[in-house]
Amino acid sequence: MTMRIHKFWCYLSLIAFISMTGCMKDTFLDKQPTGKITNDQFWTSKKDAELALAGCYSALRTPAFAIDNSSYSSLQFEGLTDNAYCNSTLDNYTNISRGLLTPTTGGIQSRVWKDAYIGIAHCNWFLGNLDKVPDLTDEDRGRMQGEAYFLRSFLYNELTMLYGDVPLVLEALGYDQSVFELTKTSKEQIVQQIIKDLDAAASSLPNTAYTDGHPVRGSALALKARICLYNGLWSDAAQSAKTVMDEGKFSLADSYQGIFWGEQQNNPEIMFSIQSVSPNATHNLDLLYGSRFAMVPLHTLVDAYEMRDGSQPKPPVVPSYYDPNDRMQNSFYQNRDPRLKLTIFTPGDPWAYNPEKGFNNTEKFKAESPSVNNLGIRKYINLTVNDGNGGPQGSSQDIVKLRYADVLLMYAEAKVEMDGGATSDPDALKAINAVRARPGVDMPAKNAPLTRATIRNERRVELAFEGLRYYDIKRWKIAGEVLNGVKDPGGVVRKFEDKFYYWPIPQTEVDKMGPDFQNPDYQ
Amino acid sequence: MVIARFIFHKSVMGKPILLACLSLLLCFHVNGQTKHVSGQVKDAEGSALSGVDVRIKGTPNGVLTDKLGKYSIAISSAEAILSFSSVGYASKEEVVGTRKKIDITLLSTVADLDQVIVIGYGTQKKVDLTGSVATLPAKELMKRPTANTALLLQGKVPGLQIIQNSAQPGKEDPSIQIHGVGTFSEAGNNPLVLVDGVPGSLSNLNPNMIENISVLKDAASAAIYGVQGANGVILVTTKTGAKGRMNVDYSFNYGVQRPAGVPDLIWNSVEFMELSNEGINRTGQNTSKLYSQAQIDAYKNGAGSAQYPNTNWTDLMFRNAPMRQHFLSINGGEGKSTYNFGLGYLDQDGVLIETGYKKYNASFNFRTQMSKIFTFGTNINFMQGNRRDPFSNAENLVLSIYAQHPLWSPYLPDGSGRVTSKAYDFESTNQNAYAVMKTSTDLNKAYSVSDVTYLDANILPGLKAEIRGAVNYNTDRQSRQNIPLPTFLFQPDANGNYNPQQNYLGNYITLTKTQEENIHYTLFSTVTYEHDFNLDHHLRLLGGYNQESYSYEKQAGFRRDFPASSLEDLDAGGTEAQTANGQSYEWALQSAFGRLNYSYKDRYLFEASFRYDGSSKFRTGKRWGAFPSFSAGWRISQEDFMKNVPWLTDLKLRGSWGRLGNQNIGNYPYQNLLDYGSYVYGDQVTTGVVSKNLADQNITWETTTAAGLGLDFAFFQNRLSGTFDYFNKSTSNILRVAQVPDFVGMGAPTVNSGEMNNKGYEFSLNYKDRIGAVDFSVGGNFYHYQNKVTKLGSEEIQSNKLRREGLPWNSWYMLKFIGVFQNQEQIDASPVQQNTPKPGDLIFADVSGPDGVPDNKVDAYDRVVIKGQYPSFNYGFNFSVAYKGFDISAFFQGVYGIKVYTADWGYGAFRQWSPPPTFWRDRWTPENPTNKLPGMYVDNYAPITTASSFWLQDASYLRLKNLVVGYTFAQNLVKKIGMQQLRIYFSGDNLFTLTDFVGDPERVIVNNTSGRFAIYPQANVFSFGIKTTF
Repeated sequence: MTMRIHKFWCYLSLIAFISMTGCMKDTFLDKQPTGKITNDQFWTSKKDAELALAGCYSALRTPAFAIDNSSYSSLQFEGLTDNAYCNSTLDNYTNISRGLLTPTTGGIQSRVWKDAYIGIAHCNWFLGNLDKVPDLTDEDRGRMQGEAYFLRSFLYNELTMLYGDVPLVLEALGYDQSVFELTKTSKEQIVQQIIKDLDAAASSLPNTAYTDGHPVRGSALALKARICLYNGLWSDAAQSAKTVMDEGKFSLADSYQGIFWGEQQNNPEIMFSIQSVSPNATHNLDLLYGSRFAMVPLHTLVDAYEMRDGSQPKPPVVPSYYDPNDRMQNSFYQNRDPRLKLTIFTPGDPWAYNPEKGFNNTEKFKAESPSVNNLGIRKYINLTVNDGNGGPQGSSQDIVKLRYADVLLMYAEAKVEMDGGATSDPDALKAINAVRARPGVDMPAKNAPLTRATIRNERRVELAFEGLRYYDIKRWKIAGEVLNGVKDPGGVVRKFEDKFYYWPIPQTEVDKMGPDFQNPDYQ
Repeated sequence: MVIARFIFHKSVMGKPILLACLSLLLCFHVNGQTKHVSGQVKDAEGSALSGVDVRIKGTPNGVLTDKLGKYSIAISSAEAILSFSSVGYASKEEVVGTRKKIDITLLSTVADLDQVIVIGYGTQKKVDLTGSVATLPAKELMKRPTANTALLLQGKVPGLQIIQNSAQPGKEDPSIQIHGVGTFSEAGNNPLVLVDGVPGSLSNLNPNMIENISVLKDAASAAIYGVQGANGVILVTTKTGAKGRMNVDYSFNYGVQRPAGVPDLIWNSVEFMELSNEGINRTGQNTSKLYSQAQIDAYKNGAGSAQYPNTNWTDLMFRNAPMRQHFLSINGGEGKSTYNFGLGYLDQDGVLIETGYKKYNASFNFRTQMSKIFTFGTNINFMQGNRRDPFSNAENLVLSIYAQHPLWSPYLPDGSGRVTSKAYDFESTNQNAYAVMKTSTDLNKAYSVSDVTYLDANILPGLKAEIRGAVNYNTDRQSRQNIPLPTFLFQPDANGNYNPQQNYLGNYITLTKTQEENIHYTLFSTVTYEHDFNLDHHLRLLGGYNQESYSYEKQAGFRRDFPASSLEDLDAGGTEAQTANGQSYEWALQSAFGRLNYSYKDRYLFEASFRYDGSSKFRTGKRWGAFPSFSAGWRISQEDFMKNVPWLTDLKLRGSWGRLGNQNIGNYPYQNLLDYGSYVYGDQVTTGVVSKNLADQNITWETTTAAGLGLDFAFFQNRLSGTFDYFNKSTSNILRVAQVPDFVGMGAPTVNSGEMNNKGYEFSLNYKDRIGAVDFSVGGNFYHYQNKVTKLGSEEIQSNKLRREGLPWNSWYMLKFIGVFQNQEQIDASPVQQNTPKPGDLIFADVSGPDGVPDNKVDAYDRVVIKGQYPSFNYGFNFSVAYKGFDISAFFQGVYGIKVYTADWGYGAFRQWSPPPTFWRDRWTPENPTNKLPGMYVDNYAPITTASSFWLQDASYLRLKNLVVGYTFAQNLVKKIGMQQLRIYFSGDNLFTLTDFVGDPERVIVNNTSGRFAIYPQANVFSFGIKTTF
C-alpha cells in the first residue's frame, strides 16, 4: 500500500510539473510583428524622416491624381470638358459628363475625396512627428517640411476646386466623437492657409531646377500662382509667377512632345510631376489611351487650334460630332498649329499600330478598341509601341502636374484679368509669345492688346489633356455654355447644371457626418 | 422461470449442461403437439445479436441467441407469443401463428440514452448533459458520400448552418455558423474545430476516419474553450481500432458531378445582337456598339456555321465531371494495443474545365496499454492535396465566361488555333475564358501533417490524468503561370485577314510561386477526479492547463520572360522586374480551466466550468480574461412520480448560462504599426513608410454571454425522441472596425464597441419504428434565429447595407422598386427620379425626404430597410426505410426567407456586355407593358442599375440534398466469398431544388455587396459506391 501511494505521488508530481512548465508567463504571450515597426520605434534618424517623406509622396500614385496599373486614370478629368469624351465608363467620368452627378455617383466623385485626405493625413503625420528626429539640420528640416507643405497644398487645391468647402485638417485626427463634430472650413480660409504654407515652402525649399520628383522653390511658387489664379487673386498670382520667371531656374523645353514622353528626365520645363519608372512602378497609360481609346479628343478641341499662320480655322470645319460616313476625311487637319498633331492623332497620322496606313479606324492591328470618333490622344503616348499592353516594360511616363509654360500663361492671364479683360503689358505678351515660339511650334506672335479670349484659347490648346481644362471652364464659369446640349460620341447629350460647379460630398461621408455636411445644392 | 434463470446465469458452466437441459425441455414437450420455431435476431444495422433472451410469454421457457444471433425454441401452440429482450434494446413480441421462422430486428435504446458523448476535454453520457450538444456518429455522417467533411454536417444539426459555396474541387469552403452571426468582426463567425482534442481542419480529414462529431452549441458546453468558443465548437474524434480480429475495410465511390445553377444565357447570336441594339437604342447609350443590319444578316444567314456560330460558352466551359474515392482501412487490436491504419484517395475533376483535385490521406491511430496505469496513444495524419484552380480566381474566371458572346468561338474558324477575343472591333468583352483555362495555370499543392500524442494515467480509482501534445503543420504551394495569348478578331477584314488584337495576360510568360506554411502547437493536460458519495451523490472534477502557439509565414517570388512554358522554376525566368515578398505572424494562447459536475440521484444535474485565458493579441494588462459557465439539468423522467408513466422513456429539462470570448481579429491589432508605400524619385523606386491605420492600444476581449433552455425527450421506448433548445446570445465589446470619416485619412482602428444579440430556438424530432419487416425512421429539424444590433452608436451605411441599432446587422438598405415606367406621362407625373428615366425604366418609390416626409424626389432619403439578410428559418428532414437488405434514405434541407443581391454578370443584362439571361425575354417593351422587368438596357445604365430592391432576389429553397439507395448482402452469402460485410449503394446529391431564385440559391455572396452572380457553380452529384469489410 505504501508502495502504491508513493507511486501515486510520483505520477501526480510528474503531471503537475509538466503542466506547470511555462505556466502563465507573459513572455510566452509576447508576440511582436517581424515585418513592421511601430510609430514609437520610428523617427530615430534622418533616414527615417526621408522614408516617411517618401511615404507622403506614395499617396500621389493613385488614379485620383495620376494613373496606376488599373483601368482608372485622372487623365480622364479632361473627359468632363469640351476637350474629350470618356468612352470608358469606369470611375463614372462619362456619367458625370452627362449630368449624372449625385452624392452616390461614386467613382471619381468619391475617389478624390478619399485619396486626397489619405495624402493629407500622411503629410500631417509626417509634420507632426518630424521634430522627434534628433540631429536634423535646420536646412534638412526646412526642406522636408516644405515638401510636405507643398504636397498638402496640392491636395487641398484639388479638394477645394472640386468640392468647395471641406474640412481643413492640419494635424493627425483620431477616431473619437470629436471628429464627427468637425465642420467644414470655407474655401477662402483654406486657400489662405495653403498660400501661407506655400510661402513657407518657397522660402525653405532649394532654389534649383526640378530634377528628381522633389518639389523645389519654383514648384511651390508655381503652385501658389495656380491657386491664386483659381481663386481670383490676380495680383498674387501674377507676382508669384513673375518671381519664377525672374529667378530663371526654369525654361521652355525645346520639344513640346518630349515634355510628356521621351524627354522627361531633367526637362527644364517640368516643375512638378508624379513619377513612374519601368518595369517596377508602371502604369497603363498607353494601354488605356493608345490602345483601348478609353478617352478620345473631341472635334471641338480640334477646332480650337489656329491655322498655321495664326488665323482662325475656316469652315467647313469638321462637325463636333463626327459623320461616320466621312470620318476618314483628313484635309481639315492640315496646315494647323503644329501642337494639334503633337496632341491628337488624326486620320492618316503616323501610327505604330498600323505603319502602312497610319491612324485609322478600320484597319489597325494590336490596338484593342477603335476610337469612336476617329481621333486619338497623342500627347503622352509612347509612339514606338504597338501592343495593347503599353509596351513590353509597361508605361512609365511621369504625369506632369506643373510646368513652366503654364506659369507663363498664368502670368499672362492674371495680367489680362488685372487689366480688366485685355492687357498690353509687354511681359504678358512676351510670356504668351514665348510659349507660341517654342521650337517646333513656331506660331506667330500675338500683338497687343492681349485679350481674355486669346489667352484662354492658348491655355486650352497648350495644356490640353493635362487635367487643367476642367478647373478652367469652372472658374471661368463657362462650363454650362460649352457643355450643355452637346451630343457626345456615345450619342448622349451632355448636361451641366450650375450646381455641378461644386461636386456633392460623397454620400458615405454624409451618412457618417449628417445631412448638413452635404453641399447645399445637393441637400 | 427458476430453471431458465439458472440456465442463463450458469451458462458459463458450459454448453453441455445447457444443451442437456434444453434437450430435456424439448423432450418434455415433444409429446404435446410441439413445433420448433427458429430465427435470427439482429440490430438495426443488421449485425447479429447474441445473448438475446427469447422466451414464450407467460411461461418460464426461454433460450438465448447464439453468436450468430440464432435461436431455436419449441412451442406448444400457435397462439404462443415470443418475447425478445436484451439490455439496451427495446423489447419486442411476436405471435407465432403458423410461422416456423421468425427473424427479428431489435432497436437499440442504448445509442440514444446511454450514449457517451464527446465534450470539451472529456466525455459524458448523453443523459447527464446539461448543455446543448449535438452528436453525430460516423454511421449517420457517412450516409452522404462527399469529399468534404464539413458538408457531412449539413442540415443534420439544428442550430448549425452550413452553406456550400461552390463545387470547386478542394475549395468548397463551406461557411459554418452556429447560432447565428455572433459578432460584427468579419473573420469571427467560424466555430473552433478540434480533431482529437486539438485544433485541426475539417477539410484535411478523410471522412472515413471519423468516429463521431460533436457540436457544442451553447455557452455551457463551449465555455471551457474560453476565448475560442464564442462561435461554438466542433469536436471530431477519429476512429481507433477495436480489440479482436483484424478488419480490412474497403470502400469505393464513383460519382459524376453535374454543374448546377449555371445561368441560362442567350447564346443565339442574332437574338443577342438584336437585344444589344434594342438596349442601345432604348437608352441612347453606347451607340458606337450598335450592330449593323449587315452584321445581323450575316449571322442570320450563317445560321450557326463555323464562321457565324451560336457559341454556348457555358456548355464549353462546364462539364459533367467524374470523381473517384477509395478508402482502405486496416484496423483491429491485439493484446493491449489497438490500431487503425487508413489510406484515402480522392480524384475529382471539376465541373469547370481543367480544374480538379487529387487528395491523398494516410492516417494511423495507435493506442496501447503500457501498464496498469498508463495508456499511450498517437494519431498521425498526413494529407496531400493537388489542386488545379480556375485561373486568377474562380469569380473572375466564371465572370469572364458569362461575358463572352455567342458570336465567336474560342479559336479562329480557320483551324490555325489562334485565339479570338471578339467578333467585331467595337465590341466590349472580357478574356477568352476557354483559351485562358487551356493555357495558363494555377496549381496548388497542399501538405498537412499532424500528430496528436497522449498519455493517459489511471492513477487511482476515480483519479485520471492526461497529457496531450499536438503539432499541426500545413504547407500550401501555389504556382501560377501566365501564358500570353495573342488574340484575333473573329470576323475577318475585307481582305479576309483575321486582324490581331491585344495580348491577353501580357507579353511574357510569367511565373509566380507562393509558399505559405503554418505550424500550430498545442499542449494540454488535465486531471479528472470522479467519486460517488454513497449511491446518490456523484461528483466529477476536472482541472487543466493549455497552451498553444501558432506561426505563419509566406514567401512569394515572381519572374517573367521565360523561354518556354514548360519551365517551372523561377530561375529560368529573366531577372528584370522580378519581385519577392514575404510576411509572417505569430500568436499564442495560454489557459487554465476547470469543470465541476455534480448529480444527485441521477436526476438533478449541475455543472460549472471556468476558463482563464491569455492571448498575445492584446497588450500586457489587457490580455487575460475569465470565462465561467453554469448549467443544470433535471431528469424529470427519473422522478418517482414519473417512473410509472409507461410511454415515457426520458425527459430532461436543461438550463445554462455562460460567457465566452472571441479573439479572431488579426494578430497585432493593438499596436500602432507603420506600413510601407513606395514612390519614384528620378528613376529610382524608393521605399516609403506611412502610418495608414489608427490603432486602439486598449482593446481587449470580445465577450459573448449566452443563456439557454433545453428539453430532451424520448417516448414509447425511444421510438419518438426529440430535443428543443432556446438560446439568447449577446456579444458585447465587439471587436469591430470603428467608423471614421474619410477625411481622417487613416484606416479605422479595431475597437471594442457595440453589442449584438442573437435569439432563437431550434428543435429536432425523430420517430423510428418497425412495421413487419420494415424498419423506418422519420426526422426533422427546424432552426430559427433573430439577429439584432443592440448597441452601435451612429449608424453605418455600407453600400446597400445598413447597420443600425434595433435592426439586424447589415440589413438590406436600398431604393424600393415599385414598377416600370410605361410612358412619358407617367414619368412626368411621378416624383423626380434620380437619373432622368425613360419609359421602360424602373420606378423607385419616394418614401421620405430630408424632413422625414415624401418630398416628391427620389434620392438617398428614400432608401428603405428590406428584410432578408438572414433567413427566417432553416429546416431539414429525413426519411429512411430498411427492408431486409435494402435501405433507402433521403435528406432534405431548406432555408426560408433569405434575400440575395444579384445584379451583374449572369443576372443583369449586358453587364460588361454579357449576354442577358433568358428571363429577359419577358422584359418591358411598349408591346409588353410589364411591371416586373424593365426594358432592355446596356452596361451601367444608372436608371436601372442603381441599387434597388429590383435586384434583391428571394433565395429561399428546399433541396433534396441527398438520396441514398443501398443494399447490404446477407452475411452468410458474403462469408462465402471471404467478406464479413458487403454493401452497395447509389447516391444522389442536390437532386432537386424548389426555389424562385434564378440560379443556385445555396450560395454565399462574397462581401455580400458585390452582387456578382459569377461563382464557381454547385454540382448535382450522382454516385455509386461499395463498402466492404474483410
